[in-house]
Amino acid sequence: MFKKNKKEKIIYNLPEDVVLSVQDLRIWFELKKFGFGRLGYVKAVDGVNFDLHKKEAIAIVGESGCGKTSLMKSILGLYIPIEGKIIYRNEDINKYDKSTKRWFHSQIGYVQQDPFGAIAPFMTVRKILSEPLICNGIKNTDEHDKRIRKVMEEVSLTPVDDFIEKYPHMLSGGQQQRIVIARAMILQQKVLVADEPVSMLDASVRVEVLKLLEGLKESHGLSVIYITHDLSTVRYFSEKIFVMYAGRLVEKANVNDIIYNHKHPYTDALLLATSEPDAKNAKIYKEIPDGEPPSLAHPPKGCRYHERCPKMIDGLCNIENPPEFEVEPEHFVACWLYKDDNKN
Amino acid sequence: MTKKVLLNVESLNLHFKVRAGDVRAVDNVTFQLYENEAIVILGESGCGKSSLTKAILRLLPNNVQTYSGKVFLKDLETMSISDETYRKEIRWNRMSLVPQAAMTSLNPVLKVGEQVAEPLTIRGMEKDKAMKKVSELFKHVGVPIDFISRYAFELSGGMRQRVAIAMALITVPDVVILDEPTSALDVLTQANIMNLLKRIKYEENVSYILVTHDIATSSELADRVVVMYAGQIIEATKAEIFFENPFHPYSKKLMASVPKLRGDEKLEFIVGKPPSLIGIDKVPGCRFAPRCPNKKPICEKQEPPVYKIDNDQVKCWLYDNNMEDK
Repeated sequence: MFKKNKKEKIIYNLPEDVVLSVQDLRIWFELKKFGFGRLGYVKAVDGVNFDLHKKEAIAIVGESGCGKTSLMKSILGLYIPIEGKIIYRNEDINKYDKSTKRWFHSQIGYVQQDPFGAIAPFMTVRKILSEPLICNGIKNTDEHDKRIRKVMEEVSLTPVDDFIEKYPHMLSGGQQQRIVIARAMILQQKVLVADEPVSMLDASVRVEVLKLLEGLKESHGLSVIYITHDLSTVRYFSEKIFVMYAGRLVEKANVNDIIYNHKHPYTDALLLATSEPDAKNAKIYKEIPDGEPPSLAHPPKGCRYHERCPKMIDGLCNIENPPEFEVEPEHFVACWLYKDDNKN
Repeated sequence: MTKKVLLNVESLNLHFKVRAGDVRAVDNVTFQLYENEAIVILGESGCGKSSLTKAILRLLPNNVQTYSGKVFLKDLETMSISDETYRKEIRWNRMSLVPQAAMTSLNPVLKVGEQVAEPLTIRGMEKDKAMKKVSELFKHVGVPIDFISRYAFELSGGMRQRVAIAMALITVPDVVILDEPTSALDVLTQANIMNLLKRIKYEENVSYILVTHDIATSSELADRVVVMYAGQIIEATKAEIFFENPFHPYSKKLMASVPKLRGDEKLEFIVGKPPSLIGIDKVPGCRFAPRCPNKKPICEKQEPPVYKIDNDQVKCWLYDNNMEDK
């Protein structure tokens, strides 16, 4: 008989308050030669571990090309990792069967970077917001209307009747981003993944969207993964900051620890480079390490930051990859400078 | 010591014609740039700041409705010069531009060295001599010399930006206009480019007009800040004053909306959106009035004049001495 072998479910027991757990995640993209040959891999994410707790917002900060978008897309289930697990509700999301995977997609909301590119220009707001409901089998139109009105009030696109029949081009950038947020929440998701939600917006609107996200997080008990390159917006919104460099998390700590008591030399450079509006800036030069992040196809041996690092230890940093040291409770640094401070 | 005025823009207008009417992108703009000074033109997207740079450099699209006003470069009135002479003698020789998307504005089929040398060779300099100048300049802006014979796609974003800066500096101009020079770059690269621009300013005695919407980064370079709103300049203030306590209610709101790394100030935002630039001259009163927290009855009736406070300017009724009567 052709009975499909049912895959055995592996149950991972996560602590009660952990919503999502990423364990030793590696996402490598194959570099193809002409025809069949393989040139190697682009190691976009190389060994990332973290837990997302209930009602917690974490920010992943890094430069472009450091792998933060690849990490996010694999959390959304769009990229299949080559190694490692993403555990949601005690199961690996890449081991889900088809219908569970579908259910999983309705569990995580996604806020895109460029609102105008993310919503269809030929659909009205009502149509845009009813799409996720139709896809998830809610057919009753009264129910649609009820849910759409509720979510639009939540993102304060009020009065609802003024907006519901409008097309995206009739809305301002901030309002478009609210639509994107409303769409990400309409299925009552408990986890939101926001990929640079404010970087395309003007300064005055940026704050409006940040405040909205913060409010929604509080009122709905959302867990948020906030991906950004701008350290200055992080503080208003998240509890933890993970600093990412060349495919690895180099420092993980609470917001205040990162800002006032950071340990990793890369975090140091990142904070120094982030400007604050102050007229004194024009009079001083900043000491920023030169160079560019390494190519992820051929990452350097050892610590990936050692080529730019001013505190490089020859014979250690350029040979062996630093593990994570817990320098203070809940403050992890992947840097050899702290090998003696390890509490474990 | 009084500084010499280098660039004097007087009631410059640039209106575009579209089907719906006139877009008043630059509307009666007046400002001065002094020697060896960097001014920042701040504003939200669509406020006309990029159009202003185009109007100064006469890089006009073909749907221009009105282009009028006066631009003095030292004592030379550039608006009355013919296009041909302007191209030969002013643009790039005395005023140059680092464009917004330096990533894509380099020619993909020319080696970057040749491209940087082009402004010189096109004006009759021998190629060897020009290339020698380029290699000197590359050293100065921190591009490795062997990059001269590379193509733009072989360079990283930060290096391309440096090449674009080199291209703007090769003719030793008086004024360099920087249109969002760092907005597409990473934080560390951005800080390095800002260091470079600062160094060039002190060593070479050039003046910058930096056009940006990024307030925090603009403070790296600014001597003076010019704020644009809906096609008009509403404030021009020294950086020391602007970043502490600007005059115009819009600037105040704008400063309060900048996320800061440290401290625990609450962020504010500006309700509403900027007005459409089409037919805006028909609406009476101050253009910021509908969003203004300090609105007075007169603000909606009559356009405010420009008030002088020491050497700074602000276009707001709040600074009228007889405000109480209105």
